Amino acid sequence: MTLVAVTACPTGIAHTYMAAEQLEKTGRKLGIKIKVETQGAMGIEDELSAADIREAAAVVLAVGIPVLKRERFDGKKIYEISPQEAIKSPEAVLARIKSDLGL
Amino acid sequence: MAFEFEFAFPLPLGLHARPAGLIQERAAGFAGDVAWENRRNGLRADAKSVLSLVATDTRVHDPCRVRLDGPAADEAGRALRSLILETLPRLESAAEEAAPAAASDAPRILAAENAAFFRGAPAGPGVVRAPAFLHGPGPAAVDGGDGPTRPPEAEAAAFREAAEAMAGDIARRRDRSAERTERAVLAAHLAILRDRAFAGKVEEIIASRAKGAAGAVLLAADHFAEVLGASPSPYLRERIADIRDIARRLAARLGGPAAASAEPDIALSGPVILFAEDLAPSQFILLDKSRLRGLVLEKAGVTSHTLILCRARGIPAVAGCPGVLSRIRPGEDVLLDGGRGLVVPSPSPPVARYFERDAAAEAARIAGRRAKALLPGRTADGRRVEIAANIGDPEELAGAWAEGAEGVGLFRTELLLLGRTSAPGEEEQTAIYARLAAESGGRPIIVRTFDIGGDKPLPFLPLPAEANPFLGYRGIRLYERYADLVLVQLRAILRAAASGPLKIMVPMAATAEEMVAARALLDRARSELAAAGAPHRPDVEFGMMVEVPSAALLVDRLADHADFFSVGSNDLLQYAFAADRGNPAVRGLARPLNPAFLRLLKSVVDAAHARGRWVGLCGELGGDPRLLPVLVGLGFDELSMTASAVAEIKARLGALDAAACRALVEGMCAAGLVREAEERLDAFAAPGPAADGLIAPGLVSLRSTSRTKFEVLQEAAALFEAAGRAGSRAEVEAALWRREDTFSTGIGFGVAIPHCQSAAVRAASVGVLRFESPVAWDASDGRPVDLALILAIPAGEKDKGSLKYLARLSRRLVHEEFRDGLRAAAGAEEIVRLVSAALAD
Repeated sequence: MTLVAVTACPTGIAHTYMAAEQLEKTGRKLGIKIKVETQGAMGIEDELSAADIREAAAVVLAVGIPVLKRERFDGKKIYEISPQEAIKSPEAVLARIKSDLGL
Repeated sequence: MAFEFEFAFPLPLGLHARPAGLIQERAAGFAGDVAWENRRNGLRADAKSVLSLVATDTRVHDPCRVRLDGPAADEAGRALRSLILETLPRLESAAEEAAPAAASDAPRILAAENAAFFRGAPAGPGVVRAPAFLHGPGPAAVDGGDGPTRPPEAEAAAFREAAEAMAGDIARRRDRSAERTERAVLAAHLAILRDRAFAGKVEEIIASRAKGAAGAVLLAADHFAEVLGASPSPYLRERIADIRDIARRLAARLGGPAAASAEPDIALSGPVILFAEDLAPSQFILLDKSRLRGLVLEKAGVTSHTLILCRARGIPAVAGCPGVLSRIRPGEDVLLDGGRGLVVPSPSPPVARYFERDAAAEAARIAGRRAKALLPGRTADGRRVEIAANIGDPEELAGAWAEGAEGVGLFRTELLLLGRTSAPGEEEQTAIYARLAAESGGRPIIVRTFDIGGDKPLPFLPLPAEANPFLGYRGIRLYERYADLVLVQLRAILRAAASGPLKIMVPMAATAEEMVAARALLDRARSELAAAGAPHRPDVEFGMMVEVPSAALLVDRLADHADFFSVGSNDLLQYAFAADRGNPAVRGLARPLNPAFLRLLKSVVDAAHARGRWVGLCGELGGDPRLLPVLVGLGFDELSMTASAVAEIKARLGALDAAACRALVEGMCAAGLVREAEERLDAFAAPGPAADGLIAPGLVSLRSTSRTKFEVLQEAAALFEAAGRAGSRAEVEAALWRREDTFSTGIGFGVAIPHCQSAAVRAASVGVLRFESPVAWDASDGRPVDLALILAIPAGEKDKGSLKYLARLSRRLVHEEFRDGLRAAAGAEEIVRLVSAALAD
């Protein structure tokens, strides 16, 4: 399974990156290919390409603020959670998505 | 004969009592009328009256016109113009006048503890705790009796006699006072007491037979209070207190029922915090300061003379705190935080603990600042730049050393002449310069010989009026004609130099011929002293100011006659562009970042260095933090500035790379437009911090005793401040709280990462605290926190480099091995190593 994700928090200094790291780390552990874009104080990094999005089964938005360029995900299945949730219980989050998608 | 001139008023604080006193003094020496007009508001004044001048509400940059009518009006007019535009700006002591910074947020602990507290304006920093001493409202205003009891002539005579006697008392107290600010305030009081408009008003009331002398004095004070009260300037409104203070005391002297209206002296019962509605400056002066721990004034503003005096003494104070008097019990235990403008009655133990820790952090900050002040000025790559202070009075020395000045780059001796009717003699001058030497602590002090002339006339130096004094007879150009005056000064400096590292510098030299003549005068002073057998130091370094473009272009040859050079940037700038900086129409031409000016400075520095001479700069530019990379890049060996700028400039110097600054200046010199040079400067930023520059052992505490989130954020902010990485800890603490308010920074795993981006942060930093006992943090997993990593980032977009490091650190924190490593680390060095490694990943 392939997922794409965006992480963003109000100050864009810490939680954005912790959430990204946690999703990537947990994805590796669970055998889920997950590509994460961060929208932090340094702007958009590791920006998702149109191909990344097209090939992904779903989009995970671990955000505490509105996402930039949200229209890229129009028509995709979107799971919106808080960055804290991604940091605290990434396994539960990914397991829930996996079962929801019926995979 | 009439003379008229227009100008933009130069003093940042506007025309207040002290400069008005000096203007009045100069105007009083002119036989005719001197009229002042503020063209912004149309208010006019008799310049021979301080009160009348002050009432024009003249603020900085206000367009003003002064007109003199009478004999020799043009000469007196030029003198007055130079006083206003040249001398007064140099006398303003910005540090002592400046109101403290705006209040930051009240510490959160107060709300959390449900503590009653009062907020006023911060009027003098420091935290104290002492019993309250209440001084009730002053006696109700007394009208000073009904009608006169004596004929008007007798009442007027009584008034004049009492005013003169009181002036004598104030003058004596001023002369006795060892405190500079106190002397200045007493001098301002003297000016009010002797004011022409004030006396005129009093005598007018007496002549109308409405009141006796005492009543007339109080009525006249009411009149001027009303005039000043209409001013939108809080500074001027606060001068009302001075006028009423004087009027009450004067009325008391004149006897009658008004005697009751003089403010009584206050006897403090022990170490206390004094609470009062307001306090007259004279009452403050008479207080037993050894018992005064703090001062709270319900009604006064922070720039009242009483609070200026209080700050000068270093006593914590809060101003403008409505209702506080009625809510505090006499003797009640009170905590006062003058820096935040807080008054906390009967503080609870957690509140008291918070403020005690704050006081300790403040003491550490001051100690740290003092220790740092002793370090020599140096760039990050090791280039030495001496940071010195400009002063005009030996009393400023101690303050300059405390700020970290490494010497005095300019001691302005002409201020010794101000307000005198004869030149100070050799003994008097020797004593003044010897005091500089004695208090130098081995630091070099450059004594500039008299810089006087057509633009700075003196009663004992009859100089012809000139059409254009700035291009006229001034500085060294007078030395041939007034050789005796200069020889006295040179002998006095040479004698004083026997006891300390004094240097001599001459002003305004434009040619080598002038320097040859000045050297000859110095030789003569030396041989006279030798002949008289007077102890002196013959080999005093002899340098010159570079203020005139002709001198700037001849530095390589002037080095034959000068041991060192110091650029007087204010004059060099206006001469280089032929633009008077007092003239608003052309002031904008003389821009220090104009490539022409940078090239001129560069040629001066390079030529001096090629001849093995050191070169400094002692104009206003030296204290401008924005220009520091340029001045370093130009290669100046010494920068001399107002003492209050020294600490900041020194700190910024330490972050600069001299080689990068040199490259910057080369680029700026190659520009054509000022804007191009400015863009290069704006684009110039100190190289981003290295990964291991974000953390240091000083930012780590492995045995933190903080018990609550309040104390953790307090401790973290204090760590950054003590390490010199943040300006105000209160601001950093408030910024950390603002972030905390959005949602908890407890990320789970027993870890919190409080962070902030704030203008108070100077350098991106990571602090690490490990707690003796876990602290509740509203973490997302509910666990208390035993480890906090605190991230502080400067405001603005320029620091993306450090953001990148902090993003890396955040990513590392979700890995258990990293957290375990931090928990197991045996010392601060190990923490620094672990964090640095994570940042460098």
